[in-house]
Amino acid sequence: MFCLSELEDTVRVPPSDLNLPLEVAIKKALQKLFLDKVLSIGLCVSIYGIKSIEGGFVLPGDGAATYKVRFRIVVFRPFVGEVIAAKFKESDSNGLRLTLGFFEDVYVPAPLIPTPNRCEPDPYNRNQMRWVWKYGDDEFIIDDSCQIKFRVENISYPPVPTERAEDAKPFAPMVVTGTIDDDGLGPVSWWEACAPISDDED
Amino acid sequence: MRGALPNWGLTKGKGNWFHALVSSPASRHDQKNYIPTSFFDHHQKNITYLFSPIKSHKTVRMKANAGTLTNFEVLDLLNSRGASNDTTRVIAPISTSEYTRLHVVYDYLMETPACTQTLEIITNFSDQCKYFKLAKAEILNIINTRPSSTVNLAPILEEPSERGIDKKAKEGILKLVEALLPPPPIVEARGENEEEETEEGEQS
Repeated sequence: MFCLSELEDTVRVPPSDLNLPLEVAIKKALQKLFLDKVLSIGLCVSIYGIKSIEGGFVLPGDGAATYKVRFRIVVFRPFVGEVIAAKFKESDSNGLRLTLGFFEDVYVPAPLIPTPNRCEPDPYNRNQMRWVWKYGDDEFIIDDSCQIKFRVENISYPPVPTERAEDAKPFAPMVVTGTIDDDGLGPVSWWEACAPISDDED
Repeated sequence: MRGALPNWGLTKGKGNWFHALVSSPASRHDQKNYIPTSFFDHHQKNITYLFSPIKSHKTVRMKANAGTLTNFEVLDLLNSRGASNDTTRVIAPISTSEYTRLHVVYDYLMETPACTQTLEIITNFSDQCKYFKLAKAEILNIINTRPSSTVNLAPILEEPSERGIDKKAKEGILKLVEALLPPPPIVEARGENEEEETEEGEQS
């Protein structure tokens, strides 16, 4: 799920930070640049460590020092085929949306939900649709009663839209598409004899 | 209807095998040359320059994948940054957004089997796994999800029948998981979870 990536970048340390120890100041600047941002390699979670720092030149007309830094970051980037446990977030007629807490754009489109299934308006929540899997004589509901395991099918990085409708969903720079159409996938309670894990949100 | 499983390039693995590092706990993350328990990457062929979307200058990507981390290693890293301390304590070098982000990731990882693992456990486990000729991606999956039954193991193994992994081998893998990997936490009331990492999984 997580990888280390080694990057080299030019970092500008603002003059207000120049009284801090060098590594601390550079780390602060790196965090501001990379933390929580989606690069083409994935979602940056944390700065792992700095490998080397060069430079420290002050460019003319600028009070800040510029360093060339080589460092490693921890990125969230699942590989295709990875099985991940997530929580149910919402569902609609196109499919499900799952969340990992720190990453909320996991989508399971309708074709990747086990068939035969049906989608019905959720009796508990008027705005949502609920997906139900019919297997033999039993019907299994997909809801937030327990963790949902899915397998990563694809990761895409949609380009930044130039214009959107007013009420469109917030732009997701990284989208993970998953499937729950296989043995052992889907809500954990479908496959285990023990009681479903309660979703305890504080 | 089952979709075709993607080909992970399993059969011809090249490069570094998993090498174990025995060292002191979290301080190893501060060493500049620490290489994590590195599973061979799947993305190394895509070494191109990347344009950071935030700034206009070029960020040179030296290595897109300098090592895949198991959930346990990331949890270990977060612990060494102090994320396990209670929420009221703020650590000076960490900025607010990193703190929040670390906590969210930490909370997620504490609900996975990673919170009961140690480095010795996972290195031991993957050494033992080579008898079953599993791909590195599959071993990573097993360590992260700790399957407890055949049906949980099924989505992890790709084309088991073609590779000669029969029912007996699957049971062997599950026995290994039972014996070496401690059971995952029971997520009922999060505040009551034990944070100690156990050495050996005691199976009742």
